[in-house]
Amino acid sequence: MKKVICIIVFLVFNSYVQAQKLTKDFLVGTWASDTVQIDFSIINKNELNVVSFSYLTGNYFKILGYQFDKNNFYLNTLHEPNDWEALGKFIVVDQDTMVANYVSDSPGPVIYKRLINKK
Amino acid sequence: MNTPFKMKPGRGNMPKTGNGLPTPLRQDNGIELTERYTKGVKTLKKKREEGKTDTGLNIDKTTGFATAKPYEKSFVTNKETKGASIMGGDNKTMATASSYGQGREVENLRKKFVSDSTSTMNRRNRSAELYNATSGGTKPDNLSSGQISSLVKLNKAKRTR
Repeated sequence: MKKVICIIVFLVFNSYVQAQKLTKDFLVGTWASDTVQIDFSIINKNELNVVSFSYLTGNYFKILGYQFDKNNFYLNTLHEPNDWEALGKFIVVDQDTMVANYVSDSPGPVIYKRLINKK
Repeated sequence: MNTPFKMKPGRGNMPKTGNGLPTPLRQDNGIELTERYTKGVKTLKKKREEGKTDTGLNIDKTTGFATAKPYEKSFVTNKETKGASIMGGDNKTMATASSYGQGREVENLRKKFVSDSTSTMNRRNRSAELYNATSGGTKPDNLSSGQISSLVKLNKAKRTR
């Protein structure tokens, strides 16, 4: 009986940990903060495609690059009209929430909520 | 129509082609940014890096675009005492009015609140617009006529026509 309980606890914990991992599959969908919308999709089988748009200025961001590192996702964007570069470090809060800590001339955290889950 | 001769463009009442397009069709917005503008952009960038931006502005982290911070004070009425107060952003009472004088004191406080909030938000909105114009937050082609006037007044731009 003890073994069964241990296995159940392990499985529940394991699925919880799996759910919190920041992977391409986790990102796929549409995310939005108060001012930014980001669309993540998979193209060419396994390539992550990122499209980001500012509600505030009505401009699309130029994606300079992205990277997965441990359980973080880094996204480097450029707002071309004023050459504003921002590097966001994304961490998972829950299945539908991420926080991006931005390094830019005006640094700070931004909360992103999942709008559409394409899965 | 069959006529003995053909009129060439630009002759008589025929419209001219190509040359001398009317100014509204021109693509530029009629200004030239000065050195003062470029210096100002650098100064504001330095101030941002030092965290010394206007306290009434929110600078967007992803675009660098400024917006006015919402007005933090609120006008609260008390149904029991029929008095009113102005509360600060930190929920501290800043001013109070009693129901004395058939509510005249409350009405005066309400008028003061409306006047203060309107002037503060107008100032913040103007400040945000100016910040976006002078910090490089708006592409020169996308500057509004108000922003252009401000830049010209500040000698940060010259009218070319």
